[in-house]
Amino acid sequence: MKVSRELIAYNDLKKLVIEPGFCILCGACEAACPVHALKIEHDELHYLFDCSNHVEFCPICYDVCPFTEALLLETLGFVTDAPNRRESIGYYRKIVLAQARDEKLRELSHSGGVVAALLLHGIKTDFIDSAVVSESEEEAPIRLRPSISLVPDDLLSAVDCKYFPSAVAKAFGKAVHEYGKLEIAFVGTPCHVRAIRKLEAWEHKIINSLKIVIGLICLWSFSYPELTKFLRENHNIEADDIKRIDLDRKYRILTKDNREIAISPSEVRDHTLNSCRMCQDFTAELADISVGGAHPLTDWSIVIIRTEEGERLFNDAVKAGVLNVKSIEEEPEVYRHFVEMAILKRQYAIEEVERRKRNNEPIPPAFMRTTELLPREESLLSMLKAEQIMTRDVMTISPEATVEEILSIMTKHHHMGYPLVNEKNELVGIVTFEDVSKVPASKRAETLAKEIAHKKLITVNPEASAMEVYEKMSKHKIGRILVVDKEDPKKLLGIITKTDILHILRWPMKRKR
Amino acid sequence: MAQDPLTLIFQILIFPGIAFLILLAFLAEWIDRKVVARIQSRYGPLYTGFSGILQPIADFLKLLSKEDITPEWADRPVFTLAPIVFLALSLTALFLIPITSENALASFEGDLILLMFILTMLIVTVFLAGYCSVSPFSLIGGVRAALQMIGYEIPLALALITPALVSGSLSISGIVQWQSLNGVWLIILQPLGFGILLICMLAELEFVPFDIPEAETEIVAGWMTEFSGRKLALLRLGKNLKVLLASSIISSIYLGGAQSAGFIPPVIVFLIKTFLVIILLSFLRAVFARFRIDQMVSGMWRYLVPLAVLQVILASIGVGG
Amino acid sequence: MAIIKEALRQLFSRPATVRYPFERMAVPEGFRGRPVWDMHRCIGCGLCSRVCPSGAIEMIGKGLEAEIIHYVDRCMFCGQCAESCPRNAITMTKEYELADYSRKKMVYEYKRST
Repeated sequence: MKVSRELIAYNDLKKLVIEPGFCILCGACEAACPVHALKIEHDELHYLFDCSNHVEFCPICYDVCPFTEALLLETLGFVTDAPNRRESIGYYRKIVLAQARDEKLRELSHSGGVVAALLLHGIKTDFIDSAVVSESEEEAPIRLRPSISLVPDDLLSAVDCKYFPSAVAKAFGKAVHEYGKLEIAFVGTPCHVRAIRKLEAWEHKIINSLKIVIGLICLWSFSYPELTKFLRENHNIEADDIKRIDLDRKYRILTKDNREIAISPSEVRDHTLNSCRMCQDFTAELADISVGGAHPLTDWSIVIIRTEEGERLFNDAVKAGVLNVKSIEEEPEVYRHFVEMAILKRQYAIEEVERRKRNNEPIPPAFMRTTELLPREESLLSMLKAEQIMTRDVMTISPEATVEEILSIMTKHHHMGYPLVNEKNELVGIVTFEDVSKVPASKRAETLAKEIAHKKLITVNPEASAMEVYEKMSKHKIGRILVVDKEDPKKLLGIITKTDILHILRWPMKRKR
Repeated sequence: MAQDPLTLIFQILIFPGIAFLILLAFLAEWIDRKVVARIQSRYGPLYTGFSGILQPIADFLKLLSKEDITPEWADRPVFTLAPIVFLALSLTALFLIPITSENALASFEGDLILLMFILTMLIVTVFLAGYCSVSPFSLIGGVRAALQMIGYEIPLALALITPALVSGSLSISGIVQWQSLNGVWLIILQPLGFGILLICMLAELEFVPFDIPEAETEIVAGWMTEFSGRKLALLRLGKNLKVLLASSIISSIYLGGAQSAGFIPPVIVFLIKTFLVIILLSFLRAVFARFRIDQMVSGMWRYLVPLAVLQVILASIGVGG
Repeated sequence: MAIIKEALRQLFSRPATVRYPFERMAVPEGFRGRPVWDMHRCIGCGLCSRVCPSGAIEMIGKGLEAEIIHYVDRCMFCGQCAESCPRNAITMTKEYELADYSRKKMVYEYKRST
């Protein structure tokens, strides 16, 4: 962790983010630089002149970069007024499935077309006056470039999924400075969203023009030269041949002559951008609304509404008849696949960070801390007891419940683990999402909870300190821990999840927009 | 007039003499400034005294206390004497106007000619003042003043003579008495003459549209540019007295002058008429734009001279007499 | 003839003059009066000081401890400082009655409160 910072942030930025190759060319630094010393051009960040001649002290580019540790806590504050939080999903109010009522939009976007529908509705009702999105380049449809959409027609070219970097934050800066737009909708991947939230936490003046942030659910972005090289060498596909790329369980590459090739994520993992490998944010946890594909459904999208602003736009669009909405409980497989991908991304990220730490390779400052606590946090946790922070009203499942039933409960309540309690009110085990996921779809109706549950439980006593709870959770790599009676280990008193710990550690971050 | 010396001195110095005339001059300036300001949608003098009536006196006193600079190359004697002569001439002419009664303090047959002479001398003084202060602005201002005089002097003289023709007297007081005797104002008998006199008085006073010698926007302050401090104070006072003079000439010759109306004493009547003329002159000053010197002179000769001659002819054949 | 009518109309109506200082005109939106620094937002980058065309802003120190001195007698109220500040820490207020008898008094200091 950086202890002292230079007067001119660019020096730190260069050393910690740009030189190790973590820059994803979002352009937030360019948009925020008060002397316009940075410019993204030809897939590279250029330092146009020595800004120390123009400013005495400037922390901006370092603070605003999504891969630095600055302001991370404060950015969380934009979503924390939401009632729910889950480890894989982040803070949210509601998860639904939605699709654009206009068939053309669904066709163009190859899924629900929700982002386009929301933005179109926003522009038509003057909720926003422009949108910053990414559109495909005409010559190479899979490459992206940022665009500023001012009228509904502009948006139609910006649908479809994105797998390559795009300098959307730079376009945001352009929309503010050159187009003078005042109510801008920002659409980007989780790192872009993080950059915008950092700008907001920093209280930069271009943020006055931001109206709403829509995040796109993202597994990884690829490095264009590396991926195309891989495809050419291993699968005989030229970059120019590719018509589109889709992702469900595997990457499905469609060529112009209608060949389809399926590639598993693990195969292409090494060709993603450096920073993507260590990113744990699958669902754009800091956006107002997050949208993504709803595999196995092909013309629906999964929509996570996090903030009041997001809720307003979404409900408005539904009321105006622009979107069809379906409850996620109707599609448990969608939810399962979605959470599985989130867990996969997180797993890969943690693995990569550990590997780099072992080999002394550079890590972006934002991702350096995985489970270590600051001294302040340690003392905070040591002051509290398990019984003070546990949830007493625990949602339990009978051991005789089928896996199908468990999945529908998970889809409804979004918790990732449920203790099994029998008729005698005894705690007999715990079943988690991973256990449920492992059961193939065909066998879900027949398999019972007790067959897949963990019988060996990790528990704590009510008098244990929160610090102990946290250490146990980290050691065993679990997301929740059961609090049982000291005398009777079968008597379940309560449950503590990672979210509860997070709430204690992050209490100074509460802020309103 | 056989009067005891004390009364005479009082009349000359105080009322209706120098002090009274100077106060009237200040009042005339105030009226002029106020009327022009109101037409221009502003207040004019406002805070010194009631509605700014003491402003001209304040300006005069302020100027007296300012530094008096003589340009190095200027002709010193002429430069110093010009403002004094200007003031003196205006004051002298005012003694020829009947104010308190139908007889002026210094009236005699032919004082109309003296008046015309003084009016001409005023402009000669202006020319000298401009010429002796060597700055180009002053030079042009003075030259233009003289040129302007060439334009309006004939119509002015004719417009002043026609009443004399009709009333048979070359004295201003005589003309006033003739009007009072016949119970009619000459403006009704000779409206053309009145108009011509009005226009020529505008030119004499260097009021817009004939303020070419002192064209602020073109030559700074024209012939007055180099005068400052006491000299400027005297010049401005002289100007104000000239305004008073011109208005009183018009009111005496065409509007009946100082006659008593019922139980209102002549001086009040005179003041009312004079101030009305001042208001009229200020009004004209506020609504017109400046002429060019060539337009002015040619306009005078092309239109006013024939009209003045026409007026004389009309008067001599008995129309308006 | 129209001008005579207009002149007579103006002669008898209320003048357009605003009798300052007894009456004051309302100041329009976006009026650039004296700039004011919000030191809670200031990060001490020094851009306002560098960009000021008349050199009316002095920054003492650097970064988050920096303090600002503003010389109102040099200020020309162009608003360039407010425009350049990356955090909108400078606001152009509506104050314009800033004249004083002593130049020494026309200095505003903005310090940090601990």
